[in-house]
Amino acid sequence: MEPMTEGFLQNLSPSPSPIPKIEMRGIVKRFPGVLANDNVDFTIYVGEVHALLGENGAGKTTLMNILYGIYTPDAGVIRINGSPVRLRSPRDAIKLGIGMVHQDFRLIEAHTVTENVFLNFDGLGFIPKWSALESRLEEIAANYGWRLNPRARVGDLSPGEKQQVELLKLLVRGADILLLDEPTSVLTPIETKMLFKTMRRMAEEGKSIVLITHKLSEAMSVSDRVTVMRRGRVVLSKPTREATVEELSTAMVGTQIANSLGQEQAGTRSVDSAPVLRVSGLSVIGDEGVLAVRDVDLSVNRGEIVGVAGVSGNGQIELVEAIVGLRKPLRGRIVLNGVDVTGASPRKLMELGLTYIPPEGKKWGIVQELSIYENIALRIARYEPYSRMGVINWRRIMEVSEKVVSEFKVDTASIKARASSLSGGNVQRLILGRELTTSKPSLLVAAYPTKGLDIAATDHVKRILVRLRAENVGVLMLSEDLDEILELSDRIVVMYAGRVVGVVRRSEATPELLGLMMSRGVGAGASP
Amino acid sequence: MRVLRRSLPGVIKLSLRIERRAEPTPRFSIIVTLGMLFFAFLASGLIFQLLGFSALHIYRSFFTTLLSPIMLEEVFRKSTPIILAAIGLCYSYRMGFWNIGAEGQLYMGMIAATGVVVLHSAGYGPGEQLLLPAAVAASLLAGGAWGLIPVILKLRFGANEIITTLMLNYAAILLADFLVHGAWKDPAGYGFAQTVQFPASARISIPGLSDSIAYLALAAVVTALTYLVFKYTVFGFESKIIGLNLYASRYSGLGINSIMIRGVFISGALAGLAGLIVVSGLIGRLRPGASPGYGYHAIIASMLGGLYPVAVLFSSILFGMLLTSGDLLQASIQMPKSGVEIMMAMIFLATIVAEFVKRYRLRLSGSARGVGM
Amino acid sequence: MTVESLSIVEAILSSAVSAGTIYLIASVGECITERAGVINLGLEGIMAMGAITSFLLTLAYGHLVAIIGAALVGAVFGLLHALLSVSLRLNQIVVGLAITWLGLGLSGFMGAPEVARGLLKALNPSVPEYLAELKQAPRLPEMRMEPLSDVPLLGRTLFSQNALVYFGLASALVLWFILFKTRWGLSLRSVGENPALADTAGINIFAIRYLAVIVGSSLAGVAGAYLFIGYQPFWVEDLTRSRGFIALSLVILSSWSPLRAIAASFLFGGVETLQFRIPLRGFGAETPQLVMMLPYIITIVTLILISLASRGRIPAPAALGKPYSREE
Repeated sequence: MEPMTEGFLQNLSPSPSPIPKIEMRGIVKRFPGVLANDNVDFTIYVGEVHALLGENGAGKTTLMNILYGIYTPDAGVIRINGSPVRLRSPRDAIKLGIGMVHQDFRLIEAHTVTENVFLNFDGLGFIPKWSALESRLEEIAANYGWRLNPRARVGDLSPGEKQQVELLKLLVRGADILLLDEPTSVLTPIETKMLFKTMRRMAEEGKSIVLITHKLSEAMSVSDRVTVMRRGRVVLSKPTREATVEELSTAMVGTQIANSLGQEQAGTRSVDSAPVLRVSGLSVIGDEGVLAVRDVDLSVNRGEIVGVAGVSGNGQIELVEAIVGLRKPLRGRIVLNGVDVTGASPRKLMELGLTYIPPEGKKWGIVQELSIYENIALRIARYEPYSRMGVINWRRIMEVSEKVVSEFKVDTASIKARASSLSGGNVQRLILGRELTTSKPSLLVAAYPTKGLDIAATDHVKRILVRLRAENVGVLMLSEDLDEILELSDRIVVMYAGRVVGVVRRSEATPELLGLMMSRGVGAGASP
Repeated sequence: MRVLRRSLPGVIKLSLRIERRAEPTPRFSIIVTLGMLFFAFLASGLIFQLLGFSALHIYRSFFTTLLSPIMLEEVFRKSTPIILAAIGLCYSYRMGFWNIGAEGQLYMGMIAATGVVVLHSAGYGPGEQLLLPAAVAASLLAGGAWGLIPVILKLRFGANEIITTLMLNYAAILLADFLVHGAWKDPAGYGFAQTVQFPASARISIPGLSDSIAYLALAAVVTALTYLVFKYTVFGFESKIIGLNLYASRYSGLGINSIMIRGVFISGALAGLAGLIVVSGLIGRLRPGASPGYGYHAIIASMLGGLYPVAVLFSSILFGMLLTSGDLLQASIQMPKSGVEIMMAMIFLATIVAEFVKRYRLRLSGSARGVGM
Repeated sequence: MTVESLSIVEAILSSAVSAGTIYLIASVGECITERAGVINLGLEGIMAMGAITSFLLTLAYGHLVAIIGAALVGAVFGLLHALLSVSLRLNQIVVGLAITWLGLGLSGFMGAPEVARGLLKALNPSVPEYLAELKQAPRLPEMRMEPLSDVPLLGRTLFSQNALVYFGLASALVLWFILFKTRWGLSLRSVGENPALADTAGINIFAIRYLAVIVGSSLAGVAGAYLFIGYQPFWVEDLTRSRGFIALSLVILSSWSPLRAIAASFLFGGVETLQFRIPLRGFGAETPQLVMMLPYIITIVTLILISLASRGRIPAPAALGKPYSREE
């Protein structure tokens, strides 16, 4: 296959016909505290690939969920083939020929491809003619050039193949409007190429495809038309061939990123002190039994924030779990403060000065059924002076709990309140407060520390990370938010398909460069 | 969530919804539990009435167990092994380890204690002074060791502990049968399948107290200690965490395997101690069917008590009352012994439903009428 | 092979099938229940209820009514299980144990001569009372499938058994077909794997789980009936002796497939048979208890072997044991 260049596939397609398939006019959707869609107009034409481009949180997914009947808009009209429609549920949408492939696959791993595709399919009869159904799928697959075995168990398929199963589900139900939400986020470059080819073929057949993405390069390479959203509004919509990369990226990002957290420090501090963490040649097996982290080298110095960027599912979480002792590495070495801690238990690592802020704090970080002070005891009960000879000193724990709650502004009536009563932001404050009050870490590993938090809580967490850097703590941070990474990190490690594809100093990093590395796995400007 | 949806075409649409309640207060919990207990007694009375036994008579006999001192002593005697085993089970259940094996662990305790006595009477082993301590130690160790098998199988092979503990119950009971029919059979026992009698030096007694009170006192001490362990020790605290959230336990660096092993060992050891009480106290020797299922009764007692040691003590005494009144009823109206099991099962069901009532309420929507259960 | 050793093998095989059918009927039903995502630890108690029902109903009205009655009693217990575990979303383990308890207690009570006598009289006054005291009922007759029953080895093993043995085999085949080849089966398996997805696909999760628990429990009731009138028509307390729990582990051994349950059950039928054969050969003739431990020990060993063979990735239905609600 020829190398993919921008616009290469696009040139092969016929010019989009001007018949509107779907018109969304004046769509408004509010969520508590957020205006997710602000008077959005969006038109999809017959036989086109339409890229809906925007940063995370720009309102793309909300708009598509409205079109798919998951949300009802607060205002606005939707017309399909010229006539207004009401979409109350995904089922209404499916009846009208709209199908959606979600970012997370909605498949049953234990079932075969055919079983997944025809689950609760109308008109199958009590004993479906499975072999006829299988050959029908083979036919469709062949049409798009897929090598998909309808009898294979979905759990054994690659992400790319799973996506094909999702597409099959829509195709057999006669969908001619396909909404693909970040479809490449879990795909390898080859699979991505394959998907784009499929999308072009579908467009040729007269179907309309919406590609929801935050990757500029994808929009440029596959789409006929591009619409950019920012903060709930459409800021640009035009044929792709008339758009330039610069124009689109400005439209996506808006003006320069706000700079509030003492940016002058980032990247400028001397980072030549001894590394607090050094990872070399690390390989880790993931939950699916395949290598999730491949031969990773990484170091974190004192007084430095290292951000790990990457599309989710590229091995970041497995890397972090191996570093903090929750996952046994297959190969490689992890050295903390000069001590080899490869395969050490979380407890040992804690005692050696590592502190970990887990993702999904409500699941990993706290016990919902317990009170706040018991949640603080969770981490410290076994150490003096909080216990002596195995007997807990609850008064001492309550004292330190009061301190955590007041210093880290955990909003609660009492330390005896149940942790389940806390909001997400307060849970994160509680976890950070507990970890930082009850230990003096030399390395803080934080996995998606601001995910799902409101603005105030996010800001609080960021300030804590910056303060730790000032206190000469090494920080290793995972984030899905590129802005956050750029704002906080001194160095940025980019992961792709389980490998570190590049290490960039803050001063050299731009969103475009990082985006390119994250999406294509192209290494650039690597510095150790 | 929709539980039940009756739709009369074009007329009315009713749906019963389940809603989560706010955190129940301790008082509310106790009231619900007592209320459900009342229902359980009502329902089992109904069953007995249907099967041809006077429910009123049964209720009355239940309360007569409390009236005479002799009866009350019997209640305490029967309660003690249940208390010990049930308190033990609290250690397992709070870690989320479904130990159904207290009966087998109790049998192993009986076997080990009896083994010490059999050795002694054959002229080996510990002398007169050390006989009781040796028997106690043996029963604790044997019960604990029997508990270690399923926990290790679970940790190492993921073997379902419900099945393994149940299978080990049968193995232990059959082992006891094997011994009393064979090697340990009392030669002077007129051919009965039973071991020699425990000598006075191997029996538990506290000077100045009747036997039943002495046993109960022992059980109460174990209960109090357990209360302290759960409330004030690192082990007690961490074992609760393991039962509540395994993710947070891993994250917080708890030694999950070692806590599980210790907890289940204690669980089994206390069941073993219950076994000692049976052979050294209640019966004075080992014979087939020495336990009428104390280890099983303990399962319900610990759940009825919500795994709170003091509450478990009282629910176990309730079960002692049930067993005693079962004996009475067998003598007076020829009610089969398993009648008591029915009552226990109803109490078990009531306990489960009480958990639901504490956490949820039912709401009839459409007419939006709240039906607090 | 000599004629004599052939007939011994024949006897062993045929009694393995005969004993294995207890497990077969119960574990095939449990396959269905668990495939829908519900684990029924009440199997043991429901089997006991099926056994006592078949005892009383056989004496009162004969075998056919007894089997149907046992299935109905099983269904009622299944309904109770589903009500608590599916609708009220209570912990399936605890619900199952409570049902086992109730079944064991109630069956023991009903089987006691004092109670059985009265029940029998109420069911059919013309039955002489002493029959209840004897604690026995007529055994299900053998149904020879001529001429297949004359085939050496297999004939006696498979084709000269009673009707419930054939029923067990047939239900394994039929339920396997339904489970893996029909639309219903696909829906049912989807509910057990991913109820949230099945729900969005428009499948009625509650209906399917109720149905699966009730079908499984009815079969457990029939398994109990078979245990009594088809295998050991003499009533003793604790007649089931944990066979319901062994059937639960056989479901794991057969990786939730009714077809493989046939092999697993007959294998365990063989183990159960050894229990009686070994003492005949001398060992444990006086005190057979150690030999009687075999099924329990082998069950534990089986669980270990399954774990080793599957390397810790046992293919259980993904949503097994998890109550489903739309909110969470």
